[in-house]
Amino acid sequence: MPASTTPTSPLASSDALPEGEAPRRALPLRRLLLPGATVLAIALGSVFAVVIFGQDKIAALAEDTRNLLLPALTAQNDNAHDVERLILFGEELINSPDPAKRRQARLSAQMLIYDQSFRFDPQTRELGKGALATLVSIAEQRDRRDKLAGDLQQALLAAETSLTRSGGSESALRWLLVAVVTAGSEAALDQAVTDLTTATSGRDAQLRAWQPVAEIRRQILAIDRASATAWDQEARRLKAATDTLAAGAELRTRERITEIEGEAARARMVAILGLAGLAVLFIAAVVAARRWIVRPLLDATRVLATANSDQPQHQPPPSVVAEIRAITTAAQTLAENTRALDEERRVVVQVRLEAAPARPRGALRRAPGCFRPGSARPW
Amino acid sequence: MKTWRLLLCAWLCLALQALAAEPLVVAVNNNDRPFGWMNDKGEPTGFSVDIAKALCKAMNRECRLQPAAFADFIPGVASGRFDFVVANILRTPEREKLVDFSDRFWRSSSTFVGQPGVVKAISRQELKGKTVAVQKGAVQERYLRELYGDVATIDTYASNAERNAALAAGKADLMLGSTMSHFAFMTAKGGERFEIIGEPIYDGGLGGDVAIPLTKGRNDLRQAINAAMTAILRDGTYARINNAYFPAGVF
Repeated sequence: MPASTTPTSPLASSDALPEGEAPRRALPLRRLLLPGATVLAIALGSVFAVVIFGQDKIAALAEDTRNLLLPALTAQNDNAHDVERLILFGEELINSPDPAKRRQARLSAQMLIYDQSFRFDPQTRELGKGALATLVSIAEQRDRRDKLAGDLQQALLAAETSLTRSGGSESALRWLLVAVVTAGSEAALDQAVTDLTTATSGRDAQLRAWQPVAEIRRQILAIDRASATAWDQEARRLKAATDTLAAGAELRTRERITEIEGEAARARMVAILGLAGLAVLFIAAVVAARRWIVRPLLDATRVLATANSDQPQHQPPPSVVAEIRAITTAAQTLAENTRALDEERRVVVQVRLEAAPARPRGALRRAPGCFRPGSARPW
Repeated sequence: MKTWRLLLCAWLCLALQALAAEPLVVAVNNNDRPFGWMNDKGEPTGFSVDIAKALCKAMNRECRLQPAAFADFIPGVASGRFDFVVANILRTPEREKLVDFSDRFWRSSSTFVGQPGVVKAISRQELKGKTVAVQKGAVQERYLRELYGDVATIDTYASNAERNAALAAGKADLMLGSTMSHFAFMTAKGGERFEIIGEPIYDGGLGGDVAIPLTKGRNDLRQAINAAMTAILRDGTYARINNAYFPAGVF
């Protein structure tokens, strides 16, 4: 029987359906197996591909972390360290009275800024360039201050000489002059100048030789103030940069770890969902196989097993699988035919038994032989 | 027959032991502050020398330090006279043809140094007619000849110390070399008048990884040096040596 044809036996399971219900169309096994296997293969492949893709992404992130992020973090860390060193060199430059030490501090700062750690991003490079420009300017101011300090010594000597020449006790004036030279701020200098002006007012012009001293001292104080202001601003910027670099490194590390964690969680979820989907597909396949293949075959077996008994025949539901439906239909037909043959034979035997008294004795003696299995001889 | 085999094995064992005990010959600079120079006692000292000693200690190998001139380093390693060199040698494709290199030992850049005002910036126009001093055989020499060979006079010197002396004596208007090497010169006596001119140069092979050259094919030694470098970076030895010679981290 062709696989695609619907069984035509009068006992086909479709015939057993309630009246009005159309028999379901049977599909050949190969048509079911091919799409089923394809769906399963696609599902399995998709889950595998998604899991592999997730793993690849994690691997790519790990590689990027090792090759790019870690060197960048190291550079950032080195840079934070170098910025702190730069602040120390700046402090030395602004505070050291020794020109050689100041030069060393300035060159050290220059070397630091020329180092690789200041080259890892444009912002850092600009920070370095700005700091270097400030330090060079401060170094020049400090050198100018040194020159002015020399001039101050000369002016002080001249003023003292003038005081000595003017004669008399001028110790009070000398103390005021000392106050001018040691004035630590412009306010203190102004006060000392006012005191000296008052003390020398209307007196010998020679006593006013202190005025260049005050003027030089004022210039020195102006340089000190300008240098300190410039360095304070730069140091604040550098300290803020150090904090930003440290925070940036922490944030970048945290972001990357979170990214890797997210990818890992996503890959895990995809794997779980994929496996769950595959499990559902597998269960559906088992249920379908049980309903449309196993159960009809068991039913057919039962029908065949009870073909010779007087038990009522079970009418199994029709399978959607054409081959299985053909088997069950054939089994039912076979069972029905066997039963019909048995019935027919019973009728024949009954008829012959009833006609036996009219037969010769020898025929009666042979009669039991015709009931033996395989006997074809008429008695 | 058995006796002969035993004797052969014994001889091989002794030979291997002798080879293992052979100290490694490590070449270092003899006249290049702060990398390597001879101190008052006639002993090699400097950054490279200290690093070489630390590496040998980390490798647990006996080393014989061999002070040498810069130009002798690569030929010495290529011929097998030196096992390896700890000096200021940039890793370049040309040198890689002759010797193998370890992983990075420190990172270098190059700068011009001169008196402020003599050359305001580094350009062909500014360098026209000027004399530039450079160490013979260094990558800076090739760079100068390629870029400024037709406009400036390039004077070569066997060592950085001689190059520095030439600049200090006014025989050259400028010199080109390793930035960190210049730092030592400019902070020492005789270098006070000089400043770095222009920006540090990293391109054209003048900056990048300085590595340890070693004889080709000695992978075991290369691996041992790399492992030793990792060890001294990890235990702080490298940082201590670095801070003793340079104001910045050079690795």
